[in-house]
Amino acid sequence: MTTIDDTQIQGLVSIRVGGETFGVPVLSVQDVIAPVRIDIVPLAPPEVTGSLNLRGRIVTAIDIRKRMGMPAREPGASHMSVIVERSGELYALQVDDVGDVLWLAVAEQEPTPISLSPDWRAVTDGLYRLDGELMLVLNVERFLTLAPTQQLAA
Amino acid sequence: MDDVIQDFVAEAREGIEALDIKLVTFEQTPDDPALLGDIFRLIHTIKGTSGFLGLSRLQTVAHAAENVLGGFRDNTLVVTRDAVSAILQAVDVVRLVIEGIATDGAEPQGDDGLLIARLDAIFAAETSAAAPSSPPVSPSSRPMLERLGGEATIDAACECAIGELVGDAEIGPHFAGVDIDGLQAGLRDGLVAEARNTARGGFAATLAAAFPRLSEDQTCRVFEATRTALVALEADPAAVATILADPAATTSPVEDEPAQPAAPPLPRPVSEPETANQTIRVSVDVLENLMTMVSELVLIRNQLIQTLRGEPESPFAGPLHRLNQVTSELQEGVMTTRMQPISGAWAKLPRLVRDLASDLGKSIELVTSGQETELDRQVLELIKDPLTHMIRNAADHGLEIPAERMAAGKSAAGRISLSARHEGGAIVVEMADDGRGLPADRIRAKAVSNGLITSAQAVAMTDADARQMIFLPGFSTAAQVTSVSGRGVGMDVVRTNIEKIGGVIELSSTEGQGTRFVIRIPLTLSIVSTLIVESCGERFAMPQGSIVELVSANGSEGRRIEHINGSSVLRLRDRLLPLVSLQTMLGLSGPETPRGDACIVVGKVGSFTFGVIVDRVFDTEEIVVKPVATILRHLKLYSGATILGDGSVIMILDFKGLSLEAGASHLVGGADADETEPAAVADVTQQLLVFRAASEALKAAPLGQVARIEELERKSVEWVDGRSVVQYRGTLMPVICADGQPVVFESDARRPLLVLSRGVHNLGLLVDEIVDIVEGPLHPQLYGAAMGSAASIVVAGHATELIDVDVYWLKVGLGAPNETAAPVAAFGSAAAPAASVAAAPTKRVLVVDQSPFTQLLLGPLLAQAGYVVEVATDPQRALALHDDGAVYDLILADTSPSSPYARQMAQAFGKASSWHTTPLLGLGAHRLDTATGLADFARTGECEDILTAVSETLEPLKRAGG
Repeated sequence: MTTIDDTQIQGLVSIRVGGETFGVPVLSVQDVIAPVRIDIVPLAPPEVTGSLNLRGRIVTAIDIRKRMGMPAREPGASHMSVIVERSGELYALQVDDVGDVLWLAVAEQEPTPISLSPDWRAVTDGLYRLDGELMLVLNVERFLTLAPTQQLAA
Repeated sequence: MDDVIQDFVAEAREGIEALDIKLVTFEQTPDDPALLGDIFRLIHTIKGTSGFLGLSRLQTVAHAAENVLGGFRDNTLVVTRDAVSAILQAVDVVRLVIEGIATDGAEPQGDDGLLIARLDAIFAAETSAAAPSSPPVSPSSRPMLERLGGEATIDAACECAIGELVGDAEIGPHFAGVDIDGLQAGLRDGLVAEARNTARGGFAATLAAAFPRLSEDQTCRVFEATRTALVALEADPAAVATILADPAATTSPVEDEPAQPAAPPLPRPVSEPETANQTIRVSVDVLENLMTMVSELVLIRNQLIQTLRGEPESPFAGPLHRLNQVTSELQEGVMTTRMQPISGAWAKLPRLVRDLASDLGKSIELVTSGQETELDRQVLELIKDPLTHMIRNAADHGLEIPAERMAAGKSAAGRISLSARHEGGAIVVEMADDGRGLPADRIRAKAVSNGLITSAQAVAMTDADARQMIFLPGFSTAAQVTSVSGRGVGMDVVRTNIEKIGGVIELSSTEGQGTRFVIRIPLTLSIVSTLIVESCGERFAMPQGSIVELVSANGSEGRRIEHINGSSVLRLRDRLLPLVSLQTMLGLSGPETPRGDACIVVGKVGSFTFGVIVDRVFDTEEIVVKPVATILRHLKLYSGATILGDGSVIMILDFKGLSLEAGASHLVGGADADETEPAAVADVTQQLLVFRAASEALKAAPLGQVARIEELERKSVEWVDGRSVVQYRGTLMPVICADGQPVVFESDARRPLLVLSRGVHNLGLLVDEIVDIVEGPLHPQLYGAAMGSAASIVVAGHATELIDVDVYWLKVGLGAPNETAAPVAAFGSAAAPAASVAAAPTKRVLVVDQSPFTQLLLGPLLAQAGYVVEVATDPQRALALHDDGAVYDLILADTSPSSPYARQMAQAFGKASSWHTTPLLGLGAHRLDTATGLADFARTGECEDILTAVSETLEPLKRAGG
């Protein structure tokens, strides 16, 4: 997975969620869509908002704020969905805003600070110091693996 | 290189699949040259390609097998069972190696020395056996073939010659559209036959058939090229010249001797390539993708139709109509690409049956029909294992050994028939054998010994029902575990697998004549007919296959949802249907809908029927099933998701999951009425009628004691001698209140009346309100102090007084003074002194009897009368209880001389020394026959007799002890 050559650069789609900036590897991003109708899935874990229909494919919507333990989005606030693929299935990450695709050298990626909460460190691969802000690199695979306890809590 | 190997693996897999069947058929019809040719070619191709790819293990094994097959083909080797077995074994090794290559990319390690030695030995037998058996052929042909360097050399030479000629400017163009492999094989076969002197002119004939427009000169060049190649490969030049004389010189012998044996190979190479070229290999992913796109197209079409429905005059109407048609056809077309003949699932069966037959020493014939029936490849994969398992069962348990069959007047060879056909959107697969059938009695016995049912249930069960038990988990009728089957994981797995894909399996069997299974499975899993329902504004799809019926519970025809202790039930015809609410189960919150007009979807999973309460039922719809996202896969209530015509995503409910959820948390005693074990339940619980009377507190009476529930009006109550009575069914029935006093009506309202019945006597107990019927403990736990109260129990979280009906009988003077007084006193009613309540322990009674009568009737009856009852089903168990130190106040046992246990009983009681002072009451055939000479059968019912006798026997004991 992480056998990336030091000289390589990686593309990250920057997303903003509740004042934080995350980078999603551009290769796993399929699409960015405006809010659409989401049908709820009863009994689903709280992070799962529901499912939506993206051109005939069923996409499971995940609320990043809930997944990261952040306060819920204010009702009526604008948001976007970043569609990512994991082993053939599509997931929609609900974010506040989507920024540019940043091409950054892999060598410049720094490890996540030890002081970050374990929950966050578990789903991030590292971070970049950008101008005026920090961007955490999201590990999509781990992000979409909900802990069993979380599922039970549902 | 990788691609080449992948192609080879794919091709080899297909080839091997076909090989198994062909070899088994070949064993039965060894004289079919076309079939043998096919087999030979398959093995040969594998050998050739593996040699080219440097897969040495594969090559050696294939080569050894090819030698033997060559022997078959040339009639120098007799087709024996042993030889075919060896070849099948070789095919297994080839399969193993191929699979190894597919996974690891390299040949797996392994030693095939034994197998090769076996094949070589068979091949060597050819030389020794062939020599004496066919003298005219061998002396001349063998040297000729040897002089030419053997078959392999000839083959190589043909290949070289063809390779050279394809590049030739003059002859090359003729090769366009010719199956080179076929040609090579034809030429080689022709030469070899000629060398063996079995046929003439095969080489020239093949050449002429492949290249009809080849000039004489060009034909000569082909001969020349082959000759050169042979000589280059160190064949004897003289032999080469003889065998490959120019056609001009050999024409006459060819005409003189029509090449009969050479004729059969001719049509094959020509006709087969044509069909082979009709198909192409497409990866499954491409098809899946195509299917997804088509599903999407269908959705768009549905949306368009919906949009335009309101505008019939629209200019789009015409094109849309066309689009509609084209889409439907496209969908159908794509669906068919996923369809495969069911023979794919059967391919391994002939081999399996053959191996089973030799393992089991039986002779088995497998007859298949309808193998061309097509079904979705996904379904195909899923039924493979169940089918294999069933065939195994049939061969092992179903069919008898030949001697047994002959004795039963059947043919020595058992027959397993397998057929498939389309029937109304489903595939019906039938598997039947003509074996011994399913012995219902043995199944019963087995089920009882496995503890699946009680002996009482076994007796009551019909043969057909008993046979259904083979589908229960952990059931196997095999008397012994064989290597083939009998391990107890069997038909339940088959049924589960079939139900998993929405299929059903039915079974019928006639003892001595065989067993027949009918499996009905859907054509495809990706499109399912479902019922769309709504609960709290959310829509869900329910697969039609599991739905039995729809019931509207709107109160008409007496259909309304009733509640027992918080769980809902519906009276549907003659049964009580457990209900679950979709709203509760899915935790949906919505506007509280009146339950009165809810719809109930009645579903069936296995033999469990239950109802699901939904708010609304829409249409049925053919939906495209999509898998549930991994992140949601732990939710067992969903089997998939789908997109509806309006673009919304809805979940497909899984009836199996619903039933599990229903049974686990929403249904108290929710097991199907048919499946509840009456005996087991009777032992620990009883049905209680919960009511209110005299006070706010809940009271309960054993339902068994209540004959009827009536309503009583004030005016019908009459007074006789200070007692309240009513006229009831032509007699006067005393009526009392729960506190034992004559009835008092505060108002004119009708009040419920419990009619207690004992023998010919009735007693009315006036109550305020009937609350519920619940399951309650059989044995009272705590002695009550109030009038008529036997114990306090907890019913649905409320303390409830369990009333002692005997007290009321006593009160109205109908309780037989002697016999009922004892238990009542022991119970500690208000009349009994408090001290004796604490001091006198409940009488312990041991019943020793093996009949269901005891377990079903006597035990509960005595327990109800307030005794602690222990039932021992045979004398040995009774003795075990004795040895454990159990002490009883009374022993009831079947001591009649006619009892099968009479002797054992006497011995057991002889040994039970500490029981020698315990009074013994003899139980005759369901009648009481006391050993002490007490016999009083004058009363109305047997139950009373027993109770009377018991209490009378215990009465002096009580006095002595108290």
